[in-house]
Amino acid sequence: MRVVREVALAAPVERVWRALWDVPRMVACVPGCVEALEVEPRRRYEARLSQRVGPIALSVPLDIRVTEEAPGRLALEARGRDGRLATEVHMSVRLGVEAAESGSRLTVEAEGRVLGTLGALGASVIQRRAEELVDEFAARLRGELGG
Amino acid sequence: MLRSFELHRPSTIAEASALLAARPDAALYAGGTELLLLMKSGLMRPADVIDVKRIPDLGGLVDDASGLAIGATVTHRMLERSAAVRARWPLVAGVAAHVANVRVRNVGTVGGNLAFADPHSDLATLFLVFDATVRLVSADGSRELALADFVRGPYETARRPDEILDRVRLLPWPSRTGGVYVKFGLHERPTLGVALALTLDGGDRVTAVRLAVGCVSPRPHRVVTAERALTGQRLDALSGLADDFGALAASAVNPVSDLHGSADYKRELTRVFARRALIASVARADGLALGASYPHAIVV
Repeated sequence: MRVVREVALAAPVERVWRALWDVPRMVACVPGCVEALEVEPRRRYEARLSQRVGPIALSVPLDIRVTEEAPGRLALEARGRDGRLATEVHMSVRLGVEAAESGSRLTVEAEGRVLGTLGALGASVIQRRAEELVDEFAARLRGELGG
Repeated sequence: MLRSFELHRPSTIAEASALLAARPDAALYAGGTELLLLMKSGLMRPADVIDVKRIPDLGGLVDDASGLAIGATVTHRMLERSAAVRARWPLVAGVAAHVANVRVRNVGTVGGNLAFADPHSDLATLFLVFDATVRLVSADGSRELALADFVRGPYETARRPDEILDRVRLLPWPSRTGGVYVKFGLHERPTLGVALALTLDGGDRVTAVRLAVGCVSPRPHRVVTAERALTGQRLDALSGLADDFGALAASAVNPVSDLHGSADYKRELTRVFARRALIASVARADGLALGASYPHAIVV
């Protein structure tokens, strides 16, 4: 699955950038994210992502590594496994922030794979849930930053 | 492998509701054709399973002036074989006869099919052209919901964990209404389902159109733009509008790529089969037999 979104934000680039590194704020913005922890500042994090698809509940402890950090650009890889569902999640997310007329523009490029039993539900269900996740993240971030 | 769970066998809806109110994580079990797959694969591990098959009030099939009320535990096979359904709701009986395979039809239930909300299913799409409503019952009372509002997305419905879907009601069509259901698929589950009904007045003018498309979007839905395009037209003009009708249906769906095909392919399928459904409907309205047959497709 792959989701690409551009989000116009009212906040200036620096505020958005700071928010992206603010763990509690990110926990609040990522739907289903709980228990986030900074393991090594700006390098490694741990978080748990819980999602529900109809009757099925998924809960994955994610090991998150920052693979690239440059001014206005950030890339991370996240991996985890839900042992109960015998399902693995691999994600790679690229975020970019640049100045725009509204204040700033955030680009999100998320690519991911769901392997194992949950994959049996079908790619379309997973793709849609990923799109909902990114859209909800954008909406919450906009709320956090005040428009 | 099935993991252990506690099995409850209530004999009334009230008993089942009380059980469910106390155990909102319990799974409701009727035919088990969907639930047991999830339980065996470990995707669902309910501690409690409530078997509602033995509740007589969920098994009714009542056909009267207000429509066809189908109890949640009525199986596809019962719909297919009911003399009343075959006589007065032939499209419903015909589609039921083509759900999955006979083993599934023998045990799979209408309520289970709707409540599980698998996007690749026939009944929800078909029932939309009968303006179906579902009734949800809990210990606190009951509520009636349009089927279009009940199905929220793949595997997701408006049912609260403490509610039981107890029946679906199909509204009768006006007189001089005929319909078809066309499904296409290479897999066990359909890749596309199209339900279409046309209502004519005494002068063979179309007074109402109902078009529902399923399987290709996150949930089945009516296509109002395409319905409007035919309303008011004369029956003998419809074949000439079939291409436009197909294009309107295709532009209304929201497909994603998966094992059933790419998003573009599904949009194209929708265009082609909406057009074919219209041509079949016109033939049926003219009292002609449906002569057309298409590979991997079933026309009911």
